[in-house]
Amino acid sequence: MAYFIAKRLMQSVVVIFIVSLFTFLLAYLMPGDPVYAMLGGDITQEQYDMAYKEMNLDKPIYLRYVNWCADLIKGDFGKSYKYRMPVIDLIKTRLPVTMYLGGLSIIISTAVGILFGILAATKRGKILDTVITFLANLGAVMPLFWLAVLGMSLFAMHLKWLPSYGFTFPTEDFVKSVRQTILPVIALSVGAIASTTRQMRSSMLEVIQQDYIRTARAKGLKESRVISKHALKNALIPIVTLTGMSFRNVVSGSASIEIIFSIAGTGQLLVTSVLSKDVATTQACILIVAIVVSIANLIVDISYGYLDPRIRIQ
Amino acid sequence: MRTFRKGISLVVIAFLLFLTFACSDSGSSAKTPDTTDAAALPSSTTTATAEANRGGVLRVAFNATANCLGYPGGLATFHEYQMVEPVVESLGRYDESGALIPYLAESFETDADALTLTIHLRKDVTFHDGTACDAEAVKWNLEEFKASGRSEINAVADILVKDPLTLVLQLSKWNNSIADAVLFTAGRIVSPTYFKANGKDAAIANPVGTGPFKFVEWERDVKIVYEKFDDFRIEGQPYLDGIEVIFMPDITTIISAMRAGEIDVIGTVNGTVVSAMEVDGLAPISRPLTSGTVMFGVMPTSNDPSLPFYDLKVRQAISHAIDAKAIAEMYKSQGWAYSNQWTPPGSWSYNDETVGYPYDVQKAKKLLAEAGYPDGFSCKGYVNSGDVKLMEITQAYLAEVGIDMEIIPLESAKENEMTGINGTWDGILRWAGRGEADIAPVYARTLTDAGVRCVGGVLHPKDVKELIDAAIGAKTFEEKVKISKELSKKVIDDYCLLVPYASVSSQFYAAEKVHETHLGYYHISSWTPELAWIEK
Repeated sequence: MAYFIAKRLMQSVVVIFIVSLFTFLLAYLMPGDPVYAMLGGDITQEQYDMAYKEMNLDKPIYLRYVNWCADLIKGDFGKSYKYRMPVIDLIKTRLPVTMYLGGLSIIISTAVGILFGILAATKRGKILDTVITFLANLGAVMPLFWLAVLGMSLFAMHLKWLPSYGFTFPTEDFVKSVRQTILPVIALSVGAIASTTRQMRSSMLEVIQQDYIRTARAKGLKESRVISKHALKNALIPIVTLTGMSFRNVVSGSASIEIIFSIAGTGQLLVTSVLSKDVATTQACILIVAIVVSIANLIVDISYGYLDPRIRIQ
Repeated sequence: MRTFRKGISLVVIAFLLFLTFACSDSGSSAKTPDTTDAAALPSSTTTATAEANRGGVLRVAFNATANCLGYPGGLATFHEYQMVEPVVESLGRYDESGALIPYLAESFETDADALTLTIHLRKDVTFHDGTACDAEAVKWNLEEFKASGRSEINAVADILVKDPLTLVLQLSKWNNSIADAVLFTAGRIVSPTYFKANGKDAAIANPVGTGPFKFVEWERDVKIVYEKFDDFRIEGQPYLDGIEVIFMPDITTIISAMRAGEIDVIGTVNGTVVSAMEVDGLAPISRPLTSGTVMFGVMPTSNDPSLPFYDLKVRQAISHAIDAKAIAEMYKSQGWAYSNQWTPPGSWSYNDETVGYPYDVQKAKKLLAEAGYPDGFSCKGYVNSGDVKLMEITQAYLAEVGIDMEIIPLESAKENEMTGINGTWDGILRWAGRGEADIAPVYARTLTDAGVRCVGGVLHPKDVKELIDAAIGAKTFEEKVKISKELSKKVIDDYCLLVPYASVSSQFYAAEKVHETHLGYYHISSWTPELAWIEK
């Protein structure tokens, strides 16, 4: 297992290196001069020259990449020229917000999705299966931003039950935090619940037709025990993959929700930095996504070994 | 089972339809206000009423963010100027008539013969860090503004501190616009002590000024928090306990928050906001400014012989082909006022004798034929990706005379590069420029070699440059007015360097309980937050 983890870690390092190279090059290839992006168009030659030098644009690109990598190793992501502060400080404030919302969304969507999937599979062809499958299909096709805007319109604007915007950590103000979190988390979770439900139903249906399940039933075990003890663990493998992949969405894909609810997370930061050609911040955000996804994939691979001992032996 | 599924489907569809209708605006029965006369003047409430309603925190939402607060040389957008006004005051402000009046300064005078601008400061004004706002502090601010590379006060050759409350600015040559540039644009005064102790980046993020409110925090892309400055020099002001400037990247959120009472003022207005607020019965707070606006229009590349627009007749043809008056009318509810020149209508530099190019398709076709394009031609139309609709309207008008314009949307960074000092464009650019009564310095920023904005795609006629210099160097106001009017006419009637559409004044929406907010009310880059109050 240690060899397996070490091997996967090495692969992750290579992936992160390649991502860093592409990110660096892409950030500079984006249309628009970074100096104008930072200062606007109404600037003198003197202002332009000062900023050009300050942003190290007078140095060759390979040298900038080498310097950037050297700084990265020291934990320095560079300085944001839009925000005029170290990028690491920006990430430190933004990443926890996104991880909190995304974490809640993953927990809720996984738990609810698994439950719905099991219910649909075990009640196949019954009314409950029909309802769950229909709702899962609906959730899967519903655009995230539309759901967010609809939720805001109904619960914030018309009913005035929940706030339209903002984010607070529960440690600062628990009630305010819960009120501000409900709409974004629901909007983030609905699609994931739908996917998990559909995947779980399909996976569970496949497992409960296996011989060992028939054997367990023949032994006279209760249906609930058959499902929880014998079927669930094997049916969970595709869900683990799905959950691992949803980490990518947590870090980068939540941008639309963060923009709609005015939440300063990494998704919003990434969009803003790309639009304003804030190269250092864009590079850092994409690199963070790569690192999080690599770690998530590693955890997924390790989980496979736990859920299916055959993978461990291989 | 099939019937049951159909039933479920119908229930869900019915529910979704209900949600959609319930959340739409169409069902509202609120009376739509008549905003055809554009200006809803600020309420003429008395100080006594404001006195009785002290306290509260005003929440102002903007769709735009800020990149700089406490470093005047770095302030770039009118939103940034507005957002920092609670903390950082200017030496001068504009009054209702658009005239420059002293504010943080007590008085000022210019001497055309001695080439000086003398500024007298108020006594006992202190920054929020407790240090004195004296002549040395103001001198440092103006020097730092110049050192930042800004060109507005380049005419200032030297700054002499005559006494702790008097500065004399020595000019390299006479410039009758220098008071506006020094007291308003460059005259946002911050604490030199804080800057020297903490550096430029810290100053950018932590404005320390003399204003009615103290800076508390700036949570990037979220909000700026200000609290009342108890030792503000004007007795009894401000009325509010604090101000929160809230950044909302999505307009839908701004509308929702306004309707839910979570914000008090909408600082960024577009068509979506106007429509929603009309449904809610709220009228925009605005007035047609005669100075301190934004001018909108299009600017063809006039300096490239390889393009059709190099020919004056082609530029005149496209001007005749576009019904700018109708476009301005279409956007009237967003503060647009038609102008046939690069000057806000009603301003002292607006020339009524400017003929312009009234909408005339036949004349446009005739001019095109005379220029050798009887069947029109194809060209590119560059526009910021956030404003494509305006360019689509322009495209439709040009198509009528056979000009096939391909619209190319640009992100802000690319647009700024194209319109910056070293940039150019090859076609028609959606243009936005400052709309000031004192128009000569604004022209100088585009229509001369020393310009900084849209300078690379437009002709720099010698006689225009001479008139700009003459207007700036005029020793009497009457002379300045006469030359500026001549300039306004020449740029349009003689050279047709741009196709102006409208002058756009600042506009905002405030909840009914909010009074005297005056965001951009006297000039698009200013605010009077010390006067605002909220009815309890």
